Amino acid sequence: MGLFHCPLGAPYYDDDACIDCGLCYATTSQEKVGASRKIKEYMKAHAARTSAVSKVAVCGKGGSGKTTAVALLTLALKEAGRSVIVIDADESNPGLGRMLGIEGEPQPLSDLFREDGLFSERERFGMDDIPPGFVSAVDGLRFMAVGKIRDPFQGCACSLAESARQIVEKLDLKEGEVLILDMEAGVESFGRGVERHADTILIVVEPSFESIAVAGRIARMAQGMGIGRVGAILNKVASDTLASRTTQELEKQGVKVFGVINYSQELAEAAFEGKPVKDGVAVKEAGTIIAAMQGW
Amino acid sequence: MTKPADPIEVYAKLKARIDENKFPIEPIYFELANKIFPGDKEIMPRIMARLANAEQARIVAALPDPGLPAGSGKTMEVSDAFAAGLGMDKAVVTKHIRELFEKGMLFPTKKGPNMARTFLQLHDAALGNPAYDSSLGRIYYDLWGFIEGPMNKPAPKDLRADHTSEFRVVPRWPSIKDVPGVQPFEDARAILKSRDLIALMRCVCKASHTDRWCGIPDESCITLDRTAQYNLDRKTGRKISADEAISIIERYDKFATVHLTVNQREVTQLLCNCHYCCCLAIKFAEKSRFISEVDAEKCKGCMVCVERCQFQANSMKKYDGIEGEKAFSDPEVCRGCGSCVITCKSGARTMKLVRPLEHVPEALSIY
Ligand code: SF4
Ligand code: SF4
Ligand code: SF4
Repeated sequence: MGLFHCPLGAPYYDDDACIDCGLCYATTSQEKVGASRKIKEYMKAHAARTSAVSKVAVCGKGGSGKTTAVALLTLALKEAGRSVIVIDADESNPGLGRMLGIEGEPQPLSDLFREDGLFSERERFGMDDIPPGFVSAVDGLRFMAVGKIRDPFQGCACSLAESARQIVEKLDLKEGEVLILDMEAGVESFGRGVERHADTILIVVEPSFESIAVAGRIARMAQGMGIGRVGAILNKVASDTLASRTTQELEKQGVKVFGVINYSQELAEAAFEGKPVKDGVAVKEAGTIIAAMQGW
Repeated sequence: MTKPADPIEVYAKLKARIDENKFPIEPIYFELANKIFPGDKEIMPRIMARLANAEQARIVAALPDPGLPAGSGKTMEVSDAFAAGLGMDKAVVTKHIRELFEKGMLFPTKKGPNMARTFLQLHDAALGNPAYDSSLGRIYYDLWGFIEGPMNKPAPKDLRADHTSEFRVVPRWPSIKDVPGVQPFEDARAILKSRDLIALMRCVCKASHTDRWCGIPDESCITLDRTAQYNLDRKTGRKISADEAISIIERYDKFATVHLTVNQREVTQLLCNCHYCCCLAIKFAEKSRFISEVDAEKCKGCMVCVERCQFQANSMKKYDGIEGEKAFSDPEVCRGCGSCVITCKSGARTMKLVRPLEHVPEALSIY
């Protein structure tokens, strides 16, 4: 192998990025297998997990309760004293703002990134640079939305995903600020590049075969991108046995479980009516999840 | 596009030029050649002799510098004792080392300047600097072309059976843009947009195949991140933005070339534009997750796709109930490069996603 083949992107042997795995000079198949193993272990161990939790992308299959989870996490982070910024990047779901207690809708961020938009040329920006019309604020929480497709002829989801990607990449957070991104659901949308600049991926999983499989695939892709802090939140779990079985299955897929949000009537009603969530127990559970996430 | 040449003829011409240009070589070049390509007494020593003059060869042979304090990190410096030991002025040694670095023979490593460790490392670096083309001479590039062998080896059908693929085909973006489920590691534009640094360099394979016939410009190797930085450091690359890189690959869509990259999810090395007349990697490159399919009703039978395919996956056949012969892609052979899809004027071809995510390994591995 030559200059361009190092899995870690070292331009040549003994460059600073080289860990002397031996892959580029291996000749026997045994040496190659050994080197490959070293590389994999290194990649697992060094994916960006050491950084503090600051940009969290939440994803999961449609109907898994992702919006509820985002709302709960937001409340729990607020209680933990963080200044929370929520971005709704799921153009298919209308309920998030209301569940957070936001009245009305902020102007869509995609307007900022259009060719003639204010941020079309900006390399970096902070929250203070974003014009007020794009941010809805209620105590300690700022809410933004990428935009929704109301008219099927208006444009494709890709351009919205592109705006979401840009904002996650280019937004510089201040001390204490944390960004939560409500991502479009499902594995097929994962990988439009939106999540690349997140440092944490949370996958909302419900106890179903399909949901677990999707979580496994998302986790592998995220790890492949070098995002090390990838974990699952179990939602809508009716019993402890179900929770522990789902956890086991997820671990088989290589997905660590950060915590469980137990099914409650109050939550279900809030989700149904699109009302702000207040369930104290659930918020506490979300707090445990955040602790697990930070310790990981 | 120029008409295809016969690889055997091309190779015979190359050999004739090499035989005509024999030059005597000092023993030290055999010593250097032996370090990375043992057994070759013919070509590699001559390559070494072109790269380094007598003084430079002595420097290279004495490296790595044992006088360098451990843990000094990646550097091009040598100790005073090293220069003294060679009986040379340190400034002269430093100048030679810089030149050999630019030529791609020496690398600034954690153990100080050092020679390439493997044949391919030297190949991928020492063919990349056009600034030295005239001083190295055409014979230098011919020697490399010769050592690589004739470009007529057939591409293996079953890739994984006998070979592990270090490279993978990345489909042409326009061919898959409307296919749902495209992942960032197979979306050429997403790959380019997600990188910190991009540098365009002269393709090293194309440099050593002076008789190639693909027609694509020499400057067609898009290097990324650390590899890009390395090329900028030794002035073999020019920095370009992601948008420029994207417009370059769009411009190259007219050539029958194939994008290759390292066979893993995180693409941090390069994105290249390869053709079988000069590329060493293309034959063994792993398939993408897509294949090209023909709608025989729409096909006009122009055969452009048959000519363009680098893997001989396309042929003409008779379809039931359709008049004349129409194009057909062998799904077993097609590597999913999308090259034939973007040039089908009748829109008869589309890409279909056929392989699971797991097809592309997380990290390049030799399984
Ligand atoms: S030894 Fe391993 S880490 Fe070092 S350059 Fe070679 S492949 Fe990369
Ligand atoms: S390029 Fe298109 S129209 Fe021409 S033979 Fe191929 S499939 Fe048919
Ligand atoms: S048939 Fe050939 S040119 Fe067309 S996509 Fe497949 S490999 Fe590429």
